[in-house]
Amino acid sequence: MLTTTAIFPDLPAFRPEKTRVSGLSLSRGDLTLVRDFSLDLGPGEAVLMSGPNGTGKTTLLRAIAGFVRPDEGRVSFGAGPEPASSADCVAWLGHADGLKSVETPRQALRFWAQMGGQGRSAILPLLRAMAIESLIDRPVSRLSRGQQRRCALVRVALANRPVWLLDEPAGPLDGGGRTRLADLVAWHRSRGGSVIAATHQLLDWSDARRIDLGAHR
Amino acid sequence: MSALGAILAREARLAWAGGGGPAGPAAFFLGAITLAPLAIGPAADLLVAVGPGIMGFAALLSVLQSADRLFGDDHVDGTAELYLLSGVSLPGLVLAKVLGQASATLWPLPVIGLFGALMYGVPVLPACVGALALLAAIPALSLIAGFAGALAAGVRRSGLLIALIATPMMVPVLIFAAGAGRSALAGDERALANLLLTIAVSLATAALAPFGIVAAVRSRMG
Amino acid sequence: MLSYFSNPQRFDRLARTLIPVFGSLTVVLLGVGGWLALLGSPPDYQQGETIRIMYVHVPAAYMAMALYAALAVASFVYFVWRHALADTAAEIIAPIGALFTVLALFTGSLWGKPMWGTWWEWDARMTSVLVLLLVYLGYMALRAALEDAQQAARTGAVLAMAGIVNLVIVKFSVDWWSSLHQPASLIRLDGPTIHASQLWPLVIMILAYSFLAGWLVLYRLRSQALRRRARALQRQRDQAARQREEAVS
Repeated sequence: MLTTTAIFPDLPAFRPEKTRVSGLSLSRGDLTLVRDFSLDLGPGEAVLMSGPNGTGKTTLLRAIAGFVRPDEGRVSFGAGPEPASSADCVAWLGHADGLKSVETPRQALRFWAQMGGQGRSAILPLLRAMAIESLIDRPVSRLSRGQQRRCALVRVALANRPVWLLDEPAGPLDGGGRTRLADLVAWHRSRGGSVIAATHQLLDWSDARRIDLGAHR
Repeated sequence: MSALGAILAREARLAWAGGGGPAGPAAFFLGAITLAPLAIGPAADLLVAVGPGIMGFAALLSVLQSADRLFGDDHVDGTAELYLLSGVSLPGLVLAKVLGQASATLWPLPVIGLFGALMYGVPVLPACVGALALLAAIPALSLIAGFAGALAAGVRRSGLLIALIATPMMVPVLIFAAGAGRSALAGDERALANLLLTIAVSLATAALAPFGIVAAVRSRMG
Repeated sequence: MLSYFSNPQRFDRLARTLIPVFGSLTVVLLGVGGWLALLGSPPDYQQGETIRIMYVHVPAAYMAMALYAALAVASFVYFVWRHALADTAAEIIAPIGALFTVLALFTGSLWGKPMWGTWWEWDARMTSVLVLLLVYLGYMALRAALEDAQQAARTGAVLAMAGIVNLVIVKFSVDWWSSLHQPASLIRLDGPTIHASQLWPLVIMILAYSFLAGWLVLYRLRSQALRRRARALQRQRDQAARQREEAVS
């Protein structure tokens, strides 16, 4: 349900993918962060992982993305005989925005569109959807944290990949930004995409599963 | 433009916009070769003898100046994770990054090296050989600096650490590159051999270092 | 065999038997070797009594290189198979290897003074050992600079493996560099020309240093492993206590 007047561009359809996490265990040194975590995520679904700081939300998300090798367990994407790799299916938003301070949103997004083999036509509509189209030529260093975050969310959407892994997506966002984030996620889910978000804020996403990591140690 | 070409171009653009472009390494190089005679003394025959060596030494240190930026910035601002997920061949990506930054910032070094050698009283032909050797050494030097920078990515005040890691690895290319200039000056028949060895080390480094850099970036992902 | 000993209890048992054996062998070999070096072997016809420093210097240089090879192997094992023990071994070997390198450089300088007239000569061997010292220091500095222990382990392993490739090329290039001028080399270990009376003290001292290094490594490995187990038990106890508190409140 769109609560703003945001209109999302027509991107080429991606292939919806299932995400399966089974028996994931992660530790840092001798400290066990996560023990035997399992999750099945289908197209159109969303998971909100919550928990106090230091419970391993970020590490778990990074393990699902493939940046960290888990002690045990596995992560697989896709239901077919050959599992898809995370590089095909995952769009990532980390704590840091992945933006270069000397670049403008136009330069950064054009670069990532090129990296993904996509055209530029969706850049402006997506910026408009996140209400930052007027900042397209302002260097990232001169954007506020919230504006930078919105730009990073545009980058995620631009990647046009089925599974979104978002680490504290709403961190610096104000109320308006959180609404637009919710709309963006809803649009993505309506196209068959899925989202896993780690957050210690209360995010109001419709029909999102909630997992409290404090209980998984 | 392919993805690798886009990376190369972006890195060159970032070097100009954020890192001051070629100004950094060039200024350092100029400063080093200006200070050296002040320390060594103005004796002309001494300066001629050490000229090729000083050029190689100063060029090596100049390359280290921007070593922390290339992979350190990506580590800090989260771009490294995005590169990992981009689907682009990682060794190629890494090579494109290093090449992009090197082509934008290190091209003055052989030029300054040529004029510097002439200022030290080295005759034209040996000075040209020395400059050519510097050019041949740049791939090796920048890749090793990149490797050290990737290992130390995001560490505060990593300059000293990077220098300590990179210095032993730069020994072979320094020996051959400076040796080319020295042999040309002394007129012995080793000049060509040294030059070819420099090229060989640069090629070998270009073949091996990208995999090392990918391993280094991955090891710091945790 | 590697995975067999990655089990902490088994390694501890092995260490407990080996440590006193290595220790006593070290003492015996150092004693015999020292006596042979100082008293039981003749002075060199060229260098006189100063040849005796060779029996301290050459084994130290040998150990410096051998320990780096061991460090690289341990790093490789950790990189491929993720044995925590291999990483701890690498971490422990580094300062020991660095110390042997310093010993080799120092005794090399002492030995060279009567021969060269200066405290240092830039010959191929000594320069290579100096570069080796820098390699050790770089490895130790990198591990110290990284706060996350797992990152320090993985990143250190990458550097150590790159280092061993680099050292081979360094050796060749330094030989090339010094070959234009041939400074008098400290030793000429050309097989048949070394006399048995010099060979025996050398071999025994090398063995003595090897067992000394082995003793040091095993001792520190074991104490490190025990310390880690104690910390893990403590953390488990704290975690259990916290969970009990949360359950109550």
